[in-house]
Amino acid sequence: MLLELVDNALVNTAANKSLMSARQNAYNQVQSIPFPTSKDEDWRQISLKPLTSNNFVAAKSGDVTSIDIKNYILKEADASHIVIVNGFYRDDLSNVSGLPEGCFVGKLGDAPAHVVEAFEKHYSNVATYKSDAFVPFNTAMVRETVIVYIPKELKVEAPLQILYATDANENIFSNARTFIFAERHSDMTIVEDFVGKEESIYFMNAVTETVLSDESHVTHIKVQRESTKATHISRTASLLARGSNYNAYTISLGAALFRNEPMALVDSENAHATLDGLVIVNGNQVSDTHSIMDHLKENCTSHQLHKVIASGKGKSVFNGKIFVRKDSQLIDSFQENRNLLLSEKAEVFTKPQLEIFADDVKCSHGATIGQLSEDEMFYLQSRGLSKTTAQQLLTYGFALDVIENLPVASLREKLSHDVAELTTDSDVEVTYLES
Amino acid sequence: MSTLSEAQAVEVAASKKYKYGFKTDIQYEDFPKGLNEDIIRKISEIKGEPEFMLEFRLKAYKSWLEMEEPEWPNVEYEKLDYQEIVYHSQPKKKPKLNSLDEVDPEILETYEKLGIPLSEQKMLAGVAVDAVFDSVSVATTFKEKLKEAGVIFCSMTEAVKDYPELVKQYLGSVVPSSDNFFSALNSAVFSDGSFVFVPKGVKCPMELSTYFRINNENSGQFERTLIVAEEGASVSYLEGCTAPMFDTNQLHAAVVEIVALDNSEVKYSTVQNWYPGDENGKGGIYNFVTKRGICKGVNSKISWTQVETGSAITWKYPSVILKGDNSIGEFYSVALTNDMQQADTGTKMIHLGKNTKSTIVSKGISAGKSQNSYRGLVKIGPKANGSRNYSVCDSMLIGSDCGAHTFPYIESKNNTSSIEHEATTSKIGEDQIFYLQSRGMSEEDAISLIINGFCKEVFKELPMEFAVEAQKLLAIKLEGSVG
Repeated sequence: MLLELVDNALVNTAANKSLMSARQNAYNQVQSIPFPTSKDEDWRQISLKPLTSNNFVAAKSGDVTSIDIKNYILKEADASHIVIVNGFYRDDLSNVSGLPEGCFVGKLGDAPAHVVEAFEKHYSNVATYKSDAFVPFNTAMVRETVIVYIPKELKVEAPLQILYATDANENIFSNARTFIFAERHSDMTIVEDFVGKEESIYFMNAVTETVLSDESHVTHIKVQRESTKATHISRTASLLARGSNYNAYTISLGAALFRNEPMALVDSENAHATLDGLVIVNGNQVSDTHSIMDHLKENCTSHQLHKVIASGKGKSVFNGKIFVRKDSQLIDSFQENRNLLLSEKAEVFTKPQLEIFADDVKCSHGATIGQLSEDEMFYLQSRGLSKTTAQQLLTYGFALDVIENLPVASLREKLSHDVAELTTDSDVEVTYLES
Repeated sequence: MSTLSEAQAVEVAASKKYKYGFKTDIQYEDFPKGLNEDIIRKISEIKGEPEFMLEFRLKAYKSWLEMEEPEWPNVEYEKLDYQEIVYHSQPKKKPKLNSLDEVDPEILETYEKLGIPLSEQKMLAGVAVDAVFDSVSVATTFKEKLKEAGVIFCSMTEAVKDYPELVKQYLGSVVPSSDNFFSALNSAVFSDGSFVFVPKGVKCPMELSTYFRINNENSGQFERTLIVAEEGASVSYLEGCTAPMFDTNQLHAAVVEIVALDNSEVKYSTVQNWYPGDENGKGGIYNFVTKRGICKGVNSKISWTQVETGSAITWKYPSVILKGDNSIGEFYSVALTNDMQQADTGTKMIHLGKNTKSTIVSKGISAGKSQNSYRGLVKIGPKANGSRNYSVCDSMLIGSDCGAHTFPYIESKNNTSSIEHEATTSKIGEDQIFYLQSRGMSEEDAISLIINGFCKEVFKELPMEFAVEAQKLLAIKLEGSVG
């Protein structure tokens, strides 16, 4: 069924010439790459049944009917946000007037020649790192690619918010595609925000590619607060040049099934990549993060902190791969995965993975699965807090570790409220070890 | 300073020859190559096995036919032609032996070259040696003394004849014949191995040990070991192996099963130093081993300790199923790879009972062009309340052409249990080498000292005589390598 849709999309979007060959290649790939099953090592722990059991249809319009877009726009991004609804670019809801001159954010059709050039050079090359059924599907099907271009020597103060909203009355699927190109010595913070109509069933297939030129800095925050019945599959790939600095944070709160693949291809010297994440699963939510930190050149550092709070019947999967290729000496790579397993029925699967082919490196990872500390609980209770309050406070504190690093104040605030709300859900029976 | 010496060192290491690479010239009974039902019937017949054993073998063979060789380990090798292997071999002279004097002098000489003079073993350490030369046990010492204590320690062949009930009860109970490709193959054609049974309340009076040797070109060796510790019993078992130098790859697909009942304790130690192939990766043993223990009873404990230095390919995951409440599983491992060696080894700890505990300490050392992988699974089931796991996997890299990999699978379905895992990969400390050298040590000694320190946590788990041997072995293996 999905293949027919790809066919249709090819016909529908043929007008955009520079995308056609990428689309055609991707289309061929979609036909040759088998749909992943639980027999594939990378998809072992999750079921993609929500994708096959629902009849998803392509979205027909970008009309907003039931969600309040304004409500989601960050204060700092008041004049630097764009809005895409059901895969349709909404000029009327977007406002990028606050961005400095030289910056381009928008559709390919509107882009100046030098932006198109950068786009054509890298588009779809970064995300196709490892063959996969969903990236080519996105490339073949996506209606609109959002392009973000930051000119050289420019530090953009205001964060750019890209809001992908899904709002429809039927089971729709849509593709989100973001292409970010940071020129030499540029600096920008980008917030990709995924929201949807509450309780609605839909499928969001998102791909983001970030290309960092020499000495550029990009902070990339992905906030996933989709409807708790939605399926969200995404890949966030980045390519790092000499001396560049890529800091990515993924905050996953929504979706029934969330699959995220953050990737950093550290392809030049002296670069640094951070791939942090916070996952909160509750109810029947499933969240699966498969990250890749690939060190291809010497003298680089990387950091990864992935935190998980699993309650209800939630399930969290984490596979963090760190590669250090042959002759990529002097790599300092650190990865930490901490899981808080709060309820009887929740499940956590984790597989940190190191593959090292160079000797002069310092690579380490740590993974823990556990509960709230009895000592900390006792301390708080001895100070007069009720057991529930103490549990909530500690859980909240656990999550805050990731959130407090976010450079956008209003987002920090919003997310800490959301986290507090999720962790104080009265349905969640928080347990800890009895002595 | 160290770059230069390292380069020299690698050169020296590369020229290092396998110390135990000799072949004993002994006549072999001819046995046709290949595998089919008739071959299995013949093996069973030669060994004079009861009907249930033949059925066990045939059933395993049938499931093996439907299985495929696993592709998932992080190793690359030329697939074997299983019809080119001779599935049974034994020394031709096979008299009933009453004392060591009757043993083939050539075999005794082999042991002496390996540094384990059997004739002196009795007086020495108090270790009973069930020496396996190729497929058939040729000498067993201290049998009488063990008999007094009620411990059964004999070859599998004897056990099938003398204690068929025990064998029937426990064989295949931990590693079912259809468990995996290599265990199915082993179950179909296994030649011999050791059988240990420690009855209720008995502490085995001495450490049991089997020395393995692979001889006879093209003969796969399929050992089968079964250790059963009844309620309150305890035993420590040692396995060590060296093999002579050959050009064609030899397959070793062993199966080891351990059953620990209430309050019992089994400790299994291995030093493995089989022929790893030459510096270009030619020849060498394929070591595809299935080792698994089950802590069936409450408060039982199974501890695996291994020092893996040999074999071209190692594929081995000594595991513990922690079924009884309060049971304990331990895994201590040193895996050293050099030249073209590849190792994919680790453990599985399956927590099923309440308050079960497991510890994993894995030390990987890669040198030359070798690839060394740790692959482990820690699984805590929904009923395993209050369980704990602690894992640490450290890898050390020596030289820029080798690789170290870590694949830990950690799964928890219980919210009263906790798991901790940490892994590091780093280079041997240049400043440490410098410090020791500035104190007058040669670089070689310095490295040996550092490596021994790196592996200390594992070595201290080995029985004393083995610990000494293991330390020596690492020093020999890395001689020149960085030191």
